[in-house]
Amino acid sequence: MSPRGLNPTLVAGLAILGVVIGAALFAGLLAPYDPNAIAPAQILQPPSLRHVAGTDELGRDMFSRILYGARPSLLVAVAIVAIAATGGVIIGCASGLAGGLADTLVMRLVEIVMALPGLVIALALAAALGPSLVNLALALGVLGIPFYARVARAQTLSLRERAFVRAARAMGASRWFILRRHIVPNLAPTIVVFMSLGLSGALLGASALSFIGLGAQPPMAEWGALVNASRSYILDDWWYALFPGAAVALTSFGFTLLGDGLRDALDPKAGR
Amino acid sequence: MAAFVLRRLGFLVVVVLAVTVITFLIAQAIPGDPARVVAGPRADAQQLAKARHQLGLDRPLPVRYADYLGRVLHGDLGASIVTGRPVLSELAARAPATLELMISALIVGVAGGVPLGVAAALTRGRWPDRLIRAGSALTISVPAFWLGPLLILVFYGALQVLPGSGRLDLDPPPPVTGFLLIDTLLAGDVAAFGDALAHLAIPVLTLALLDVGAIARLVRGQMIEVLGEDYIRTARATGLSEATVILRYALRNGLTPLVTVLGLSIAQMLYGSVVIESIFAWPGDGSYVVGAIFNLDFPVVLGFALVTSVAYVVVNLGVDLTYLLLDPRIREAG
Repeated sequence: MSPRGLNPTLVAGLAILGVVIGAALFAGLLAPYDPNAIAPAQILQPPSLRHVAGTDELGRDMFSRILYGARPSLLVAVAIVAIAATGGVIIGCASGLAGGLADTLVMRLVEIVMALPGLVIALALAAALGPSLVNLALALGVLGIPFYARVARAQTLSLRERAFVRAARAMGASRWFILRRHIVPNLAPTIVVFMSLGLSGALLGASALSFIGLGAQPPMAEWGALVNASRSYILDDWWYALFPGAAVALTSFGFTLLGDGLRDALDPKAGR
Repeated sequence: MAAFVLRRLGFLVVVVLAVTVITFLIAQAIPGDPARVVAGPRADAQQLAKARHQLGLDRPLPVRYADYLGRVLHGDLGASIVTGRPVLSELAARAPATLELMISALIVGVAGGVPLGVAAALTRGRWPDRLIRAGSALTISVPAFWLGPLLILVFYGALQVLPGSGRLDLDPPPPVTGFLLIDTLLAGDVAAFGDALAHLAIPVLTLALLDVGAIARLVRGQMIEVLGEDYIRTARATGLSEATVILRYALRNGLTPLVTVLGLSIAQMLYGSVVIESIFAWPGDGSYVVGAIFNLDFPVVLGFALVTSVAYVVVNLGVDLTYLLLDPRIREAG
């Protein structure tokens, strides 16, 4: 095996994500056209040297739209995971440190929410809040909280009994100090692995809701919305759906590799 | 064991109540004032207050929830704003189409995923294992809303061997179960059976492909664990053939957790079917709810969430109980 921290899975994941994040950051420099520029003479052109990913029904350059589309697509995935992880870690640590009845109640609640089909509830919630990327991120993010809460609580419970935490407590350290200095830093690797694996699901979930029409609204070039717009043209204009969908698949694959790679690197016992 | 079953049933009741609380709260989050709709746009404050009172909107939230719960328990999920018909019967009418799709996909997914997972476990670390693992990582990453159109493009557009949308082109058989594969056979209509099967092919393949990777991953992990057990070594040491060891000893124990995968797959498919049905114009609950979202037909959207959540929770209870029957260790521990 290669040296720890540099396994091939992790490297492949980082390489893919490097390209995607680069596209998002430098879309303004890389895109050959304005992503929203309508060109009536260039409607539904197949890929060519002028338009490497073809054009859509308004003559907009698909390559430029996909590059710009990386921004909302990645942002929403990151926002969902950030909401879920932040909420989950706060609830999980608090519950684990508090113990007793509060802990039991919180964990029962977590168990109940985890027993529900989250994406179906998110669908209803996003529909009720009205179609927008912000509402979509909120709906998916909140429903992700229990997963992180459970992990954070389990880790907190085991860390709480470790010698260095007991020593800190014996020396009179406050709960807040213990949480900040001992629990959260030791919790971080596990949560980071969970987050990177969660990013793939968040991207797929968000782009699927966008595809249904619950997320990004026109003319925003979010990837799921791009595939949605291509639906009437699938048989005659194959490139229209192909490239934005491939961008979702590639990015999601990159997140999965990153998560698997990080897990193997941080915890050699898992996997393999 | 009785205690375990009772505990699970108790949990089921709590979760179902939680679902009703959630759908009730989501309904409160919907923008717009129902009283305004009833009273009309020109209503003055007094008329508005009267409408609020008639609709019961002036009562405290817990009272309104109790009212809602009472109606739900009697099977009253409200009426569709678009058609005026009861939501529950609208959903029930379309359920067979969705179930036929999901069950078929589940069968295909398991039939593909289990052998792949076993093969990967047996060739652990060598190229077939690597290939299967890479393949499953890939299928897990592919979005359903992309795979579906691509398969339509290939099998319907380019090759022209399969239909690209709908459930049936021929005349439908007299409805008995609502499952076209069964109804056509009952009617003795072989041509319609073939037609229904052909219409199922691409949507089922799409759903199943998305699931195969996840199933293969789990089966691989379980099989590797089982293959390391003492009784497998003992079986091999007694001189049994490798085929007997795998089929008689390892597979039986390695596949028990598959029941759990089925529970997870169903959750995945509930959601996948919403996307897949809307792509393939499949006349089930999934495409119906997408239409409802656009028509702002909230009773239908919330009814769908409620019904699918309850169905999901009940299926998972069934999964747990099946697991209990299959695995004596859990049965004893109770």
